[in-house]
Formats: sequence, C-alpha cells, structure tokens
Amino acid sequence: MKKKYESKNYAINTTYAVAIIAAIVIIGGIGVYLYYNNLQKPEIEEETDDMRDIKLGMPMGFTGPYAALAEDSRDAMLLAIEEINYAGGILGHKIVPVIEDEENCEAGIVSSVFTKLITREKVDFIMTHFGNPSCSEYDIVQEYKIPYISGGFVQTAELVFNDNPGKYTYVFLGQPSYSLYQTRFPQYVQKLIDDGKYEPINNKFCVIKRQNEYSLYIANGMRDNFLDMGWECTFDELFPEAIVEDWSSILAKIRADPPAIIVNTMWTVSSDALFLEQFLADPTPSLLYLQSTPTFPDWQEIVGDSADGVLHCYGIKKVVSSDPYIIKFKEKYGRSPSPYGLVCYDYVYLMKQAMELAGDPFNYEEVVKAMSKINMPGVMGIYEFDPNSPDGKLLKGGGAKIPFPMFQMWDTTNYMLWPDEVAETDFTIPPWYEEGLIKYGP
Amino acid sequence: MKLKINIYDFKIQLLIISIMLFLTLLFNDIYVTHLIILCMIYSAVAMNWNIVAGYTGVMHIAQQPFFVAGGYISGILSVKLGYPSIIGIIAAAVIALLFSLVIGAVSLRVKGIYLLLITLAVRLIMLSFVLYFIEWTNGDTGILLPPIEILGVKINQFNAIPSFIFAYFLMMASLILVKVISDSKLGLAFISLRDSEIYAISRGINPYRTKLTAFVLSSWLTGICGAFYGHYLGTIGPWDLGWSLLVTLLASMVLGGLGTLYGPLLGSFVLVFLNEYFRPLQLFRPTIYGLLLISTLILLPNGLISILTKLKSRFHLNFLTKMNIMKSKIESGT
Amino acid sequence: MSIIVLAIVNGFVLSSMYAIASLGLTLQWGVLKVLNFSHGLFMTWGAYIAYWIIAMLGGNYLIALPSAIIISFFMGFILYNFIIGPLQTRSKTEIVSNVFIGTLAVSIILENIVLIIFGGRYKGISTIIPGFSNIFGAQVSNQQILLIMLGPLCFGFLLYFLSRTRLGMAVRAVAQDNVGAAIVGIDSRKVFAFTVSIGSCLAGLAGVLLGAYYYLSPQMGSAPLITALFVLVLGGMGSVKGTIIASYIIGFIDAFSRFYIGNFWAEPILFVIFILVILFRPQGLYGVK
Repeated sequence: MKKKYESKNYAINTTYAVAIIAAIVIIGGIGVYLYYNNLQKPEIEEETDDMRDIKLGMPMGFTGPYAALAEDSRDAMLLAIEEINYAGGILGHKIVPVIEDEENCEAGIVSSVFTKLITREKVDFIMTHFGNPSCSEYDIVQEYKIPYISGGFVQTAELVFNDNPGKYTYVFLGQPSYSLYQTRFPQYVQKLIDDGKYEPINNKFCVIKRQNEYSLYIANGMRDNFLDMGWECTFDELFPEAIVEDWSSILAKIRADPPAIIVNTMWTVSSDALFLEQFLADPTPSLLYLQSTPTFPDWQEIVGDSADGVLHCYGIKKVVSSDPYIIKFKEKYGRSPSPYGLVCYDYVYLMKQAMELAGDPFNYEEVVKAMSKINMPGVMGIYEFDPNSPDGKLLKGGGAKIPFPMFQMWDTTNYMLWPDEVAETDFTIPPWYEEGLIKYGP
Repeated sequence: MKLKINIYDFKIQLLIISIMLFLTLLFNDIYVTHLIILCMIYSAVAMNWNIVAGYTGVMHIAQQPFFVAGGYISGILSVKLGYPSIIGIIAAAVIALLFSLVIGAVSLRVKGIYLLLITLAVRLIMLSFVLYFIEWTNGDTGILLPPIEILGVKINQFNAIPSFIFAYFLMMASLILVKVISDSKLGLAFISLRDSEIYAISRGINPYRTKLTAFVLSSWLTGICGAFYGHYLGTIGPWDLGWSLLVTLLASMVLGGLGTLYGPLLGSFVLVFLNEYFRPLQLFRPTIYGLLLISTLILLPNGLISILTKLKSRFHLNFLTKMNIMKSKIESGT
Repeated sequence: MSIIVLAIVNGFVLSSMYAIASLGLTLQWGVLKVLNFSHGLFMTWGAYIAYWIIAMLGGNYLIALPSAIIISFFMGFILYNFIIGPLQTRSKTEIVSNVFIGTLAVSIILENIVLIIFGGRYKGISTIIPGFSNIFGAQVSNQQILLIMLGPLCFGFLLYFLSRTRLGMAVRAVAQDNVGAAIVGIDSRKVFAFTVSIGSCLAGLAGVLLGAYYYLSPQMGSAPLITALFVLVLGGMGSVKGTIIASYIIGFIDAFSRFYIGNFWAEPILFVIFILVILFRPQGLYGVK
C-alpha cells in the first residue's frame, strides 16, 4: 500500500540529465540548421566575382529593449532587398541578407556579432539602425575595411568623428546632425510671434528631459537657445533612465506657474502618452513639444485624436499614409512603419547607388568613395553627405535635403508647418488652449 | 621507464587546459579566438566570484559592480586623465579592492537573501551613479578606451595574440588563486563557514572577518579583468551593468558548479559558445537559452562539472575494482 | 490646494498597486522562503492576457480579469511543480541562489515569448472605468478611484482567507514551521504549490491593472518587481500585514518625494532607504527574524 506522504525520489541519473540537456541543444541545433537552410545563408565560395551574391550584414537588437525599432528596420531593408533583387539586383548581383541578433547592443555582443559577420559570413556591406551607444563598432568596420552605414547615436558619432578626423573612411552616418533639433523649435516659435500668428501668455518655458544622450543633447540645446532668446525657464526637470508613469508632480509645477512652452524630450511612447493623457485632464494654455514619439505608429494608435495640436520636429520628410511606400510596407507587413522603417529602406538604395557608381560592388574602397559623393532622393528626403559635417560623414540637413520640418499633429497625421519649401499647412492653436486659457490665463 | 602522468595533479591539469586553449589558436579564426578571450575573462570573473559564493557560501551579485568599476576606473584614468593604461589597470585592481572592502563591510552584516538584496541595490545605485556623473563617465554613451600598451605591444580586439595571452594570464591567475586558497587553511575556513557556521565559530573562526577576507581576495583580479575587458572591446558603459552580463556570469558560475575549481571555467565556455551557437535563431534564442539554463539547474544540481566527477568516479571505480581483482588474483596465487 | 489632493490621491493609487504586486511575492517568501524573480513577468503576462482578450478577441474586463487570474494560477502551479519544487528538494544549501537563477531564466523565457507573440511595440488597452470625478477641487479619474478601492479589497480578501479558512490556516502553519505542519498532517508540497499559484494570481491581477492604467511592453514587469522588493523588505518578508503597511509607506514616500524633492532623486532615495532597512532592521516592520 502506497503511503500517503512517501517522498518522491528526486535523485536523477546523471546520464538521464545529460540526455535531456543534449536533447534541448539538439532541438536548438535543428533550429539553427533550418535557419541556414532557409536561403539566408549566402551561397558558399562562388568561382568568379560574376556569380557572387552581395551579402548585406544586418546586425540589430531583436531581443533587446528596442526590439520594435529593430523589427521595423529589418522589414524595411528586406522590402528594399526584395525590390532590388526583383529588378535584377545590383549590377547583376543579387543581395542576400545576413541577419544577426545583437540583444541589447552591449559592447561584447556587438563585437562578437560584427566579427562573425565580417570574418565568418564575409559580408560585403553592413547596415544597421543602431549600433553600440559608444560607437565602438566603428573601429571594427574600419579595421576590416567593410563599408558601414549606421543610423543611430548621432551626437556621439559627431564627437567621435571630430576627435578622429580622417580615420573612419568606411563609416557613414545615415542621419543629419541633430544640432538642428536644438534650434528648430525656438526659431519657429520666434517666427510665429514675429508673424503675429501666436501670442504666448508669457515668456516662460519648461524643459523635461531624461538621463539619456539623445534627450539631454536636444533638451539642453533647446533650453540654451530659448534662454538666449530672452525666455525664462520655470524648471528643468531631469528624469532617470526609466519609464515615467506618473506625471502629477511635473504637472503640478506646470499648473502652478503655467509656462507658454512645454518641451518634453522623454522620447518614450509610454511616458509621452501618459504625459499627454494626464496633461489633458487639466490643460494649461501652453504649446506642447514632444520629441520623436509622434512619428511612431504605436504612439499614434494609443493616443489617437487626443494628440491633436502637439508640435514636434523630426528629421524626416513628411510621409503620408497615402504615400506609395507606406502602402507597400503595410501591404507586406500589416502595420505602418516607424521612421526607422523609412530610413533603413533608403539605406539599401544608398548602397545600391554607391555600388553602381563604383562599378564593382566588391571593391570596397571604390564603393566608399562613391558613397561620399552620393546625391540620391529617398523616402526620407534627399541624401547627400555634408562636407561641413564632422569629417563629412553626416547627411545634409535642413532645407530640401533632410528637411527637419516642424510638424503639428492632427487626426494622428503629422502636417508640416515649416520651412516654407515643405510647408503644407499653417500653425493652428491646439484644442486644449481655449480651456487652459479660461482656467490659467493671465 | 614509463612516464607517469597523474591526471589529478593540478599542474598537469593546468598544462592540459593551456594546451587545449592554445590549440584553438590553430584554427586561425578570429571569431573563435575572440569568443575564447571573452570566455576566459568571464571564467576568470566567475572563478573569483566562486571564492565567495561557492567556497564560502555567501551568495551575492556584487561581482558585476567590481568588474565594471575596474573598467570605468581604467577608462577614466586613460581617457579623461590621460594616464597610461598600465596605471589604469593597477588602479582598477586597487579601487576594486577598496570597493569590495566597503561593500563587504556593509553587506556582510546580514545573511542570505538580505545579502543578495543589498548587493542588488548596490548594483542599481552604481548604475544611477554612472549615469549621473556624466562629466566623468559619459553617462549613457560609455567611455571609448584606447588599447593597452605594454612595452610597445598594443592589446585590443584587433591584436588577437597579445590579448589572448593577457586574458590567458588573467584566467590562469584566477585559477591558481582559487586553488591556492582552497588548499590553504584560509580556504578550509571558508568551506567550514559554508558547511556549518556554528561549528566554525566554535572552533574560533571569526565569520565576519573571514568572509570579508574572501570578498577582498575575490575582487582585485576582477577589477583587472574589468579593465582588460574595457580596453579589449574598446568601450565600457552602463550596459555592462545590465541583466545580460549578470546572467552570463552568474549562470557560468552556478551551472558550472558552485564551489568547485573548474566549474566556472567549464560553465563560462559552455554558456558563451551555446549562446553563439543559438544566435541564428534570432528571436527564439532566449527561449532555448532559458530552457537550457533551467534544465541544467534542475537536472544537474551540482553543476556541469558533476558530469566530469561522475565520469571520474566511474573510471576510478572501474580502476579500483580491476586493481582489487588483480590483487586478489595475485594473492590467491593464480 | 488641489496639488496636495493630487499628491495624496496619487499616493493611494501607487500604494494600492504596490500592495497587490507585493502581496504575491511576500506570500511566496513567507511560505517557501524563496524569492520568485519571475513575479514581474507574471505581471506582464497578466497584462498581455488582458490585452489579448480585450483588443484581439473583443472581450471586456469582466472576461479579461478572471481569465488573467485563472491562467496565472495555472502558470504558477506549473512554475512550482517543474521548477521551484525540484530546486527546493534538490539543493539544500544553495536554495536561494538556485531559485534566483531558475526564476531569472523563467523570466527570460516568458519575456521572449511575449516578444515573439505580440512584438515589441507598445500596446494600450482601454481604461476600466472611463471618466473623471472631482474630489476637493482636483480632477481624479474614475480608474484611479477603482484602483484605490481594489488594494484594500485584495488584502481584505487575503487576510480573511488566511485567518478564517482551513486552507489559509494551513498556509500560515507551513509558513511558520513546515516540519511542525507536516507532523499535524499538512502536506507542505501541496501548500507550496498552492501558495505559488495564489502569488502568481495576484501578480496577474496586478498586471491587468498596470496594463489598464499604463501601457504594455515586454519589459513592463521589471520596474514593479524592484519596487515590490522594496516593499517586501520594508514590511518584513513573509508578513502580510507588514507588506500592506509598507506598501502605503513606500507609495506615499514615492508620491511625495516626486513632488517635493525632484524626480531624479526619488529613486536613489528609495534605494538608500532599502539598504538602511536591510542593514539595521532586516526583519522590516513586522517580519520574523
């Protein structure tokens, strides 16, 4: 008769244990095998250069904190690769993507992945939306002389290029300098006041920023520019690197001393959506500026119409939902792309143009030389590398190139207000302004 | 005369490991060499951690702060203050030592889960500090470190052989340190504290001081490893204080075998290589990796090294049995 | 005037949420003497189950809330039987570290599954009760009022369960002395399994509320887990009463320090309080040493 409280024998045979663990490793190995068989592994060692495929390395952080951006970038690049291959490839060579996961883009993993891509997979070009925040991968691609386009950490990259002029010939930054972010909004506000289209309730502004390079660079720059213009800063609040869910303390400060301008560079979907929601519960007659989140489709979906009137500036040309690219993307992937889903599409075409100009996709030196002279219209704007930027590595921003327009959001769509060559509509007072004026007006 | 190679002699084991490691250089594959260097560094850190967590039984997660502090000190000295990298490495060891003294003195007043929680808080506080003192640490961006220069030889990830040798020496140093400690009276004190603290106290071992000694002994090499890590990869940053590196280090120690000599070594090699092996799975990699961690934890409670121990005991048993049979045969005169 | 009201309301809301999140963890610690680091991911799963039912299947909270709770219960049951249980019986000396790594590995897997199924983009679900009310001159959302009420409701239930039902008394017995409990005829393994399941239920509930109040992402569980640890340590690990009181203290300290000291320092201050409590009174307010 089995006793009720007889304890189970938990000792497991070591052989059995090893067998189970080996089984898991083998299952994982099957997955790896399937990946390599899924035509993602480039064909090995073609005889001549004529038959060789162009291998494009795409290392991105698919399982890290910015997984959504990585997904969009990868999908955009795959879309471009499909189109180019369909049209015959680059100079007759097909492009084969080699995708690797970089987890959270920490230095050790970035190093391993780049070394693997270059020495094992023998890629001919690498492009990504983000690398490591300290730009440590620039040394790797420069050492092995493989062309590389990156779209992230612009302010760090500027510093790196400035400190090492002439060193990083194989690295290109597919973004214009973010210094335009620091001046755009203050200049636009001044312009509105000069044109008589907006009368601020006072000359105060407040800044909300996060302990993060991008946020600090833009927020501090804007703050200094406003101060130079004679405005007064009511408060300059720094948040730690975390999602902020509760804005009551900030909103209390805002409501106690309503500023005419609120600058919020938290650039996180969740934090900004909650800020907007809690702000609109009891708004002040202020203009609200948010950084980058209004261009993300998930933010637009979450906040919907309540974001009407929000101002922001972003380094892209406006792309309407009726734009053929957006329709293409949506048809293939079932969702709207975030800005990285536009930029990375252009990067593949930049590579195509550079390789065609160079004449030989596998002569990396020529490709790199051709890239620095490129002038190509893309979805995001017109791409041309700015010789005035540090080391000539960044794109030209402003004007008709990469316009950095001021946007205002209406009906989950972003409308360009300025500069004049791209403006499509005029500034309109946000809907919460009236309500705020009644309660908090002078 | 036959050459007797006693496989249980420590020096022979070191020789075997060194030969195996240097043989990998023959592959002439820089990717593999890069991974092996990372493995060696992680195993060095894990072995140092093992001194406190395995041999003394004090489980903590302050090893990552020591590691990263070493990297940052060397970075700040090399980049912001312009000292040569050698000074940076020595300073890294010293500061990591002092740091461990402070943290040990504070944390060892409590036991068990509370110790774990204090070190968790220390990790989070260090992250805040690193992000706050932007002028020194470059905050979010991290510090870009120059290569180490010893007698004109540069050591960074593009100079594989010198880096390999440096990392090899660090790993060997940790291995020898752990062996020397575990064979000494101090090591016996550590083990006795783990096995039965009350009895150890009754025999005159001061638990607080002994554990603090363990902390301090385990941290200076970790600081040097951190400095090397930063110079090798060319950068150190707040991402090194994140969960990914913690899981790698902790798992290589625990899964390798807590309290064993070669456990963390085996563990770190297995984990790093498995992680890379699974990398083509992209999105699905963490699931398989996590499943592997859990199953190894449950099925092999004494770590991966227990497989080797089992093999050894079986071999030994076979050998002993055979010896006994032969002996009895000889004695019975056949 | 309304600023103080806002701060107080906020304090209550945060306290409520911290209470629900931490109660599960404290129960598991008190009974099993292990820390379940996948608690945060159970919250994430609760939120995503609610999202799945509401946004993808078109249900509403009346279906989503119970479903999240039931599914979390089963997940907790599986967690105990396959992971925490075997680790408890196998590793006598290194239970703490083994369960720490084991549950950390579980959290890696769970977060990855959420990422695979739902993608990395932020998701939102509708508020539970829309609309605002006016309390003492401050605009308070109805959802905030609901959250304020749910906290006391939850621990009222829990306290009633623990003190008046037989199963609750069994839980308390095992928490106090599981050998003694076995002598009196309580199967501690069953009680352990039940406790982990109930703890996970509470995590699932906390997750649904977090998802409704804030927005969902695969990493949404890590910050609440750290705060739950603070509450646990302050209140005394294993003491339900202590956890409840500590969650209110931490909730109000959090709310008011954001108002008056500045958002950047609120976090380090909590860390310092955490360390001081562990050093000088590790049993917290009501815990047992």
